[in-house]
Amino acid sequence: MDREGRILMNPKAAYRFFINLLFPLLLWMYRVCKPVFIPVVTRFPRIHRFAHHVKEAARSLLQPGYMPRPGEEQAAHSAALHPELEPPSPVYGPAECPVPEWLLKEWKAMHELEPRLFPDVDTLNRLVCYKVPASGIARPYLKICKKWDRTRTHVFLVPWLVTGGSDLLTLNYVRALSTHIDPGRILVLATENRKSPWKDRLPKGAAFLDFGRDCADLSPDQQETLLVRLFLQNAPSVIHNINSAMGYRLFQKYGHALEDASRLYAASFCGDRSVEGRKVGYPFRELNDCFDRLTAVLTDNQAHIDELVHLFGMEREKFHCHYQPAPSGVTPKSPDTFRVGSAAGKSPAVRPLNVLWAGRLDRQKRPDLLIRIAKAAAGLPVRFHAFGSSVLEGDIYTPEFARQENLQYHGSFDGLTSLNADCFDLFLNTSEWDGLPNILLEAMSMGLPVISSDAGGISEVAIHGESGLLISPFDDVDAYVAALQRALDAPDEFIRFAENAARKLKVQHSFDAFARAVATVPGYLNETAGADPDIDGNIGSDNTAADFLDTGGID
Amino acid sequence: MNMGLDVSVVIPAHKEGRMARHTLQSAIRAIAFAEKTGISSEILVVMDSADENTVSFLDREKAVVSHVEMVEYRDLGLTRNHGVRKAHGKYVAFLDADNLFCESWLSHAWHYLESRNEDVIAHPEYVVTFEAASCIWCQISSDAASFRGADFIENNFWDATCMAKRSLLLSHPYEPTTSTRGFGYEDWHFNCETLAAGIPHHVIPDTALFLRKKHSGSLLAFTNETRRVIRSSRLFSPEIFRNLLK
Repeated sequence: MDREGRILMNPKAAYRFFINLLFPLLLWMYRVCKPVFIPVVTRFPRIHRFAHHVKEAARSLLQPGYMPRPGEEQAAHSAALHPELEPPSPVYGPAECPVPEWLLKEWKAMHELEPRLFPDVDTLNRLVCYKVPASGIARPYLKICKKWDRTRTHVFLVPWLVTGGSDLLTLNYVRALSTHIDPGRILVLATENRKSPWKDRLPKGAAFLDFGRDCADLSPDQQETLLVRLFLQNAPSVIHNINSAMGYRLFQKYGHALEDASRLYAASFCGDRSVEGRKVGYPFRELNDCFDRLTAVLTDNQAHIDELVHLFGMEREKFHCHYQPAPSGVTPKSPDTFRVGSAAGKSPAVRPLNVLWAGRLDRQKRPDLLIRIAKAAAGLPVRFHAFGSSVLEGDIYTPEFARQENLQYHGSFDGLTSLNADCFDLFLNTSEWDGLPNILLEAMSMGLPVISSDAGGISEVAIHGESGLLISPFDDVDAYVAALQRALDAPDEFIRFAENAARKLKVQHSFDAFARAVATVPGYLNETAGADPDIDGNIGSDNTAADFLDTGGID
Repeated sequence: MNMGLDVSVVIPAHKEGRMARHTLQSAIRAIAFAEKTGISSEILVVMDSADENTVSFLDREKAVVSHVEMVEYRDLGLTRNHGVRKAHGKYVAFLDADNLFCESWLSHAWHYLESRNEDVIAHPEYVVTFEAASCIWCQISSDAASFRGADFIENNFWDATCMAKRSLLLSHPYEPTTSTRGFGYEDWHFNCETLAAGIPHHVIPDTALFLRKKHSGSLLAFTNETRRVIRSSRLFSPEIFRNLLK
């Protein structure tokens, strides 16, 4: 009987034969589908991770099993039954790495020294051939090295550079840093697979590396391995993470290694809340997990520091509050235009109070409160103007906006300062939770008096009764309506709020003040790499040599 | 320092206890085999923060061990460096205290290295793991056609068991790993650095290492669990790495 015939007669061998056929077929199908699916899968890290695990599981299930060569099993049996007979020179071990005769002999000889060592048939059948895996990151590594060298001493890790609050903050830090060091030493590295239109706003000389897009074909784990190697090799003196999920993962997993060559900084402004009210977001998990590795945490409001110190017992000295620069070059609203003129530019007569509400149409900003306030203020000469679009959640608010007669929805906007301030009389903010929102700084720089919920660090710029009116609790609709009535009754008071706010911005939110504050962060401007030595000299702390003592030795 | 000895077998010990018996026996067997070809050897055990069982066991074995050094580095690489400094042989062969090398290793490696004019680091041809995992690894030389040096960026190519001139090991010491907070894989880093320095790594035909994979508590598992990475290496500088990719 030929070999195929023998295989088909033996169910175990037939199964192996079938698997050995199935595996190449599936592998071929996988390779055909790969170019189609990879761009889709790699866009979403969680799907990518899932796909990777499925691939590994399929590989381990389907890879060809150990297949005895002709005569091998028989020879082993004969040897067992008739030890006096020498088997006809079988070849043992995995097909790709057969065990040579001399090694078998030596292996058996070792049995006399260590009884656990013996090359019986079972052991040889289970023997797996190890080969050093081919690296998937070697070529991308060299490719990136061409764009990133050791002259870049300050690296910003960001998810992307789009039109958002934290993106603006990144630009502010890069600009501020550029006033102290050569911009040619700065690298901004985007970790997500998404376009970064604001990369063109970086100062001349500062480099931008589209890592997330350049390495979209790599798995998240490979991306981490590659990025860690790049950081260790290039040893920038500063790594500043601004809301990059991968940046936090690197800090959490490899922070000990990274801090050997670099000082680590993270920016944190405000947490988030789930629908059920749970505190979520980087400040409550990732930041806390890597806090001890950080040289400093940079934030834009004091309230956030207070919250984290209270929650996690973090050292207050590690936090640095940098009030962000308010937009410059904005023509402020003239005080004479309060309730005078027309939003539509029609009638010059006294008009209704035009209230501007602008922001993301997401839960955090509570557009639903705007609707409730508009309903409650229906009897007042007040007109609400809403700008913005939903970013994190589905749009459930705009149909409601349309039902409200005194509320006009204008769609999305490209920065508040792109709007004509003279068309509005005051700015309304209804956030449930917040840091110190940039949109408030924009409204104030436009000369608009502010009525806002007293959330997060808002009171640090809008002081109640001085440079704005604050509503607490954030959802007290009657208090908002009363504040609007107050604006109608005492417009001079609101004009004064706007003037006080402008003065506050000039002192607290100027670019010069921000750049000066950035320079005071420990080690932030230094070129020399490496974390400060452990002043206690305690090498036994946190997974170091002390843990080595608990390992059973070396292998 | 060289007292005319050919090879010093340096065995770092930590918490192996009586398990080191098998290791010592394999070293003694290989030394006896090497002696037949005129190679003189010694065994030097460096106990790094060793536990009571290991100290007590090695005390009973002092007849076969030439020297015992007690250190508190808590670091495998630094322990090996200490062994190199205290060694008397022209060559040093490392053997971890839970592994075993084959009878011919010392003899074959010594003859090969002696026949070379330049510095070379020798490794066993086969690594056979046992206990928790049954695996065979056929190591390849750095000048083999199938050697892909760029893969070093993700994986190590040679086990720590090797033989090299003492002078070479003194000039290319291991960097600290477990005594730091974030670094590990001292042998991987050593292999990278020596390769970057142009020192070839060759496997010696017909030699093998029997490497114990523990079920738990191994240094490798500890290193993986604590997300340690290898240090920065010259091998990954673009100028050198570019050539590895070719």
